[in-house]
Formats: sequence, structure tokens, C-alpha cells
Amino acid sequence: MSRRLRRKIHKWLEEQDPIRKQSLLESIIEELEIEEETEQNSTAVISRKRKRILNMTAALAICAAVLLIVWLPIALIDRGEKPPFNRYCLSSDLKSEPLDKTVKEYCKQNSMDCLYLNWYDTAYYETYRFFMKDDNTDTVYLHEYMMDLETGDEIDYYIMDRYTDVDTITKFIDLCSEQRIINSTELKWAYTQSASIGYFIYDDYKYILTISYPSSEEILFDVVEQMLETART
Amino acid sequence: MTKTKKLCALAVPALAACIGCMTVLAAPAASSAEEAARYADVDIFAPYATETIYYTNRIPDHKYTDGTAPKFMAISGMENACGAVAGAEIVAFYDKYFPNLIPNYESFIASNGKYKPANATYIYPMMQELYELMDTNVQGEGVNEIEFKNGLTEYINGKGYNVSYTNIVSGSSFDYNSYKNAINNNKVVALLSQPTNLYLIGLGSGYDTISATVLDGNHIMLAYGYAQIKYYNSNGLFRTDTYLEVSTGLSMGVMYYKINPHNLDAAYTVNIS
Repeated sequence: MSRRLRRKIHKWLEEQDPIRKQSLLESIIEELEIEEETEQNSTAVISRKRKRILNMTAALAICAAVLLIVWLPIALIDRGEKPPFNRYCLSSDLKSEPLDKTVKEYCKQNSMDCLYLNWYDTAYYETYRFFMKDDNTDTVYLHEYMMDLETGDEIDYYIMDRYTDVDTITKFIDLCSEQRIINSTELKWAYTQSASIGYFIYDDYKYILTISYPSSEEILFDVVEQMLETART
Repeated sequence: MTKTKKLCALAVPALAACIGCMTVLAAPAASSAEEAARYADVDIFAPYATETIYYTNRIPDHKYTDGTAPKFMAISGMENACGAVAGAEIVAFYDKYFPNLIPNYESFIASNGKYKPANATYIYPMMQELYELMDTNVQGEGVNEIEFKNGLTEYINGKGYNVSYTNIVSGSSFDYNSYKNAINNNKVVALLSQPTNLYLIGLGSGYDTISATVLDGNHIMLAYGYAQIKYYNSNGLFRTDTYLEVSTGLSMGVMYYKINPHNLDAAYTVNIS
């Protein structure tokens, strides 16, 4: 209650003249009504303000949560970041070096439980390691080329962890529209104009194979079966 | 006109002509080697997009040289080496027919005629020699056409053989018949290419899937085969795609270079005798 109204009430109490008293009373009532209305309005304003603040706070919190959900995996996916986060590498970001050891030897030395094609005694082979240009220690994939001396079959196979994709190798995977089960492992495969190509995942690794100018239609399946057998050794 | 004025009238244009001549003479001579396109390391990337071609009938005309062709890559540390890599593939290809090109070495497997992969004993030293003979990275990044041919010629001549080159590209025109003739006669072709796409052709039942990889720079590679594919539907022949089968010198496997249209500066059939 305002001071002015209090004074008015006080005056009304003291007023002796009935007409003035009545008039004062009416004025007091009027002012009371106005004060009440003003109080309600300001309460409503305060409520609206509070609501707005609450709404904004909630919106900001939601935005922050969404950004965190979106940003966090991206930040951790970034080049050089090791799995288990998915990563997509561009060939232009990679360098390669020939290895003086086979895939079998390299994987054993680096505690990688990989499959390999055990043709080392009967085939020409070359092995390469592909790594991030800005981090020599970050091996992205291995590539082993083998040529069967008898049949002339040329096999390129690529090994990377199951969370990694490389643009120029993913294109092989994209073409593999057929599927076959070999020793409980699903092989996706296809023929191209000059090659048989295949793709499968075994444990933690992804294997992509191309056999250029294959000597038979079945050679791809034979090769995959032989690779899967090395899991038992 | 007084004598002085006459002299001035003659002197001014003469002086201007002298200044012009001096300017021209002083300017560095434009070198064709510096202006010509250069071929170097390229970025490669493979966009997701593929094209599917549905057909009722498909007729390919596909052939490659005997044993296909060598497929090498640059040694680690050899920057912008596509000229040397393609040159090494050419040398190793013809070594089957001209054995002194790589002395004391057989570039192919006798039992099946296919070419051996690169090795540190014979192929990499030969590649390194070509790299130097071609003056790689001397006048600019990589090599230009003249440096590529001169370096390769010097190597081949040094082994006691002659070499000639026949360009089958003229502007936007590619002499496909001459190319087929070369392949059918077991000759390979060096492609000097602008940025281009290379293709994988996936074979489905009633459709082909064409997947492109982009070479983002000028590049030299070796062509050793052709594939012309005619596609038919109920309306008859609706599409013909013509490709060269290439060894890219990169870690890419067998790829196809489309020539309708092409992105070639030149395509040289290599003839050794």
C-alpha cells in the first residue's frame, strides 16, 4: 500500500464531515483498485520475464547439448585420432613407404591380429604401409601386392581397422553388390571390367581385395578362404 | 624547318626505336621449357557419386598388350616422379623384346608373360636414373613433355636402341584407330594428361556401375589397353563409352581413362628399335 493511500485512509478516519468522508472513501476505494491492478500487472510482468529467462536458458542448454553431441565425435574423429571412433581419410592426406617385411611379419611385430595371404614362398610380393602425412606413426592401412608365379594372378589386398575408410579404397567397397558366406564370414564381392573385387570384415579389421585379370571366376573365393585359414595359425 | 629542328624530328623516333629494341633485347627470352605444362605429383580423391547404366545388351571390345604392363609406383622420397615412373614402366615393358634395356634382368615372368613388380635391385635404380635424366624438378615441379621424352630417349639410346614417338592427339581429337593399332601390335602409349577422372567399371546383371576417381593435377601415365563398350536398350544403341586401360603409377589398381571426351595434352606411341 502506498504512502499516499495510507495518508488518505488516515484522513478518512479523522474526517468528521460525512460527505467528505464518503468522498474520501470512494477515492480510497478507487486508489486501492488501481494499486491492486498495478500490482497484478507487475507480477505478470515479472512472471513473463521469468518465463522468458527460463525459456532462453532452456534453449541455450538444448543448443549446447546438441553442439556437444555433434562436435564431440567430430573432434575425436579428426585426422590422427585413433579408433574406436570412425574416421574417413583422404588419399591426398596419406603417404606410403615400401616395407622390407611381409604383412604377416609386420602384424606380428606390431601386435596386430590380422589375416594375410600365405603365398610368400611361391609368389612375388611387395608390401606398403600408408600413413598420415602429418603423423608417421599413424598407420592407416597396409597394402600387399602378390603375383602367383604359376597362374600370373595379381592380387592387391588392403588391411585397415574396421573403423577406418579411405576414399580411393571405399570405391571398391561401394561396387561390391554380391555376397557369399565363406567360413561363416560374409564376403561382399563383384566383377569389374578387369578384376574381381571383394570386401569382408574379420574381428577388428577390414579387408579389401582386388584380383586383376583373374585366371578363374573362383579365385577370389579361394583367396578369401585361404586368408581366413590363417586366423587359426 | 631549321637544321636543328630536322635533326630533332629524326632523333626522337630513332631514340624511341632504340629504347624499344633495348627493351625487347633486355627481356628474358621466353623459354618453351618454362611455359610448357608440367607433370608432377597429384592429389587423388574419390567422390561417392557413381553412375549406373542399365542396358538390355552390352558389347565390349576389350584388349590389352601381352602380359598387360608393369605397374610401378614412385620410391619414397622421389617427389613429382610420374615421368620417371611412366618411363620405368615403358622401359620394363619393352625389356621383354629388347633385353638390354635392363641388363641382366628379365622384367617378366617366363611361365605366364606377365610383368614383375618393382624391386630395389633393378627397377628402382633404373627409375632413379630416369628421374635424373629427365631433369625432374629442375626447371619447375616434375617434368614437362620435352624433359620426359629427352630423358627417356637418352636412357634408351644409352642401352644401344633407338626410340621414336608418335603423337595421336591433336587438339580435342584422339586417333583411336591408331591407338588400337598400337595396342594390337604390342606397343604402349604414354599419356600426358591434364586433371582428369579415372574410372572403375563395375559389372552388374543388366547394369554397369561407373565409379570415378579424380586426379587433381597434370600427370603422366602408361596406357596398355582399350575397352570400348556399346550399350543397347529397346531403342537400340544408346551409348558408347571408350576407355584406355592405364597403369597410373599410383596405388590404384587397374583403371580406365575415358577418351570421349579426353583431357590429354599428348599421347605418344613409343616405338623402340
